[in-house]
Amino acid sequence: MKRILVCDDDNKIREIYTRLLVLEGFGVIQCANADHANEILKDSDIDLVLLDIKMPEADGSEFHDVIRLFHREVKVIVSSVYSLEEQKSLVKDAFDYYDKSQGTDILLEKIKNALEI
Amino acid sequence: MKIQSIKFKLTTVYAIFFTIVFVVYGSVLYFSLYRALYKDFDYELEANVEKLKKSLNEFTDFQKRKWIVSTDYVNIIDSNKKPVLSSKNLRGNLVNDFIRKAPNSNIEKTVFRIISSDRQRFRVINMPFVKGGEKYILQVGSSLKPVIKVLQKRIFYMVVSVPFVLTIGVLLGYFFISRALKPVEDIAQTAQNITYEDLSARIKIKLVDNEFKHLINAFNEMISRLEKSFKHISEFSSYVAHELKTPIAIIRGETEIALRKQRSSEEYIRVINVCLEESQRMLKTIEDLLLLARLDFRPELFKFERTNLHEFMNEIYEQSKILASQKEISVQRDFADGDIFIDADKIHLRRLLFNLVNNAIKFTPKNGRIDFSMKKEDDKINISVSDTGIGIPEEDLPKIFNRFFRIDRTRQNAEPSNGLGLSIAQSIAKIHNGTIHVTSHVDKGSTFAVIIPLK
Repeated sequence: MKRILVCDDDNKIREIYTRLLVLEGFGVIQCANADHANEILKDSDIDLVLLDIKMPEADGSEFHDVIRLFHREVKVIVSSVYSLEEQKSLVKDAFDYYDKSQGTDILLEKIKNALEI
Repeated sequence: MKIQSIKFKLTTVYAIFFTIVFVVYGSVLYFSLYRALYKDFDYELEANVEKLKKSLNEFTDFQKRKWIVSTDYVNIIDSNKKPVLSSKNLRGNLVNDFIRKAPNSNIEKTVFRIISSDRQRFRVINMPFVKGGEKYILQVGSSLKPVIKVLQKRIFYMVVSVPFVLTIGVLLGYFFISRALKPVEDIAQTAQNITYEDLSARIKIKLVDNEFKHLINAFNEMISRLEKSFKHISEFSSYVAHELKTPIAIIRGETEIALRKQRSSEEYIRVINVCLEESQRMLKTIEDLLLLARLDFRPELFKFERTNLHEFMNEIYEQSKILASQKEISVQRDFADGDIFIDADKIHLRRLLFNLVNNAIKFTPKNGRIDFSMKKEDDKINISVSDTGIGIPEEDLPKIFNRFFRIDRTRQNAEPSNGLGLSIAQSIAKIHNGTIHVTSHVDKGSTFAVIIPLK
């Protein structure tokens, strides 16, 4: 079973994604900030991170670099309410990008694609 | 050049002035030349008549000699105005005219006369002369033709030059004034290039006269302010779009999951409630934004009435107590004595205060305390709401009134805020001509003071 880390500071969004992914048969761990996510990455075996970035501070960007340095095998999908172009300009070289208002079908597609399912 | 232009007016004035100066100067020169020429002329005549006098004194009988002194006209008459001796060139009417214009032989000093004769003008010096007890008048004259010719030439050249001078004046004037007014052209040109899309144009200030520096600086600063405003507006539009996208993401997520397969009624009811909540949340955000727009740009839409602040604040105090009791937060008040009246839009002033109160309750832990105070300060009224809550970090203090600013610490809020509460509070204070000041210490608490002038 593939394990996904859902990192978002909005409770409701986290709940929705968790429910969605569990229903699809993924293992899901939630966290609300980068520090917590870091610990989880160290302790658990994570296949993919769904990483929310908050504009304009975009602290998600630094964390993304950390993941790439220390957890190269972990795929990262950056998610945000901002448009894909804006996300790409803020976080470079993520595996994929997701605009939250695009809906759950697209999210699932991107996740399955990243995990080569 | 159009008539209604500074360039035209200044150039005309300059050209006329230039020409007047030329004419005046030319006249002055002309008259000094006039005087000099006549002076020299008279001086010559005087010298010649003295010479004549001297030679006459040497001879006992001057009737026997004919005297022709260069080209001068010489005439000697006795006390009866009868010619005694005349130069050859004094013919016909000329000698009569000379005699006619001669002064009385009783004169003591020399006298100058101008004689017009034979279509010529002569300047004649008349000197009294005594010889052998008899009084005579010595007349020596010279044609003024050369002098007149020179003077006429001078005037002619001056007059003929005037149109040239005028033209040069116009050209010079136009040139200098155009140069001086060039910055005005630059400003107009730059202004043409500014659109709401490109506010980057500025006018260079290097080689500009001081009078324009001020104008150009003001102009450049104005464009910078406009640029900032437009940036602000475009950033704001961006914020709004994103604010509304989160509730949409939630609605979409919940409904899509629910629709994937058959769910229980409770699940459907839950999902429908989420959609309702989120749409209400979006509606609130939109209404708050519209309110902000009205507060900032249409203050005339608000209804002001005479308000007794004591009554007003007491009402708010009572309601706050109820709201705060849920978290067991105590509420105290300290209102100045006496009735205080201001003109206020009650509904919105109430909203301002409840925004502050709700924040105080939200960010103060259980068993905390909220203090209301109201006092007069000179011609202003100071209403403040203090709490013993988590406080606001110093670096955030200047930002808290910004649109959409929210405290970053992830609190497990049941209702996320849209970050507009303090913005709205500030704008409401503004339409009352007031301001809001905040002081705060982390983990100690915050105080929001609303200051409104009494008039």
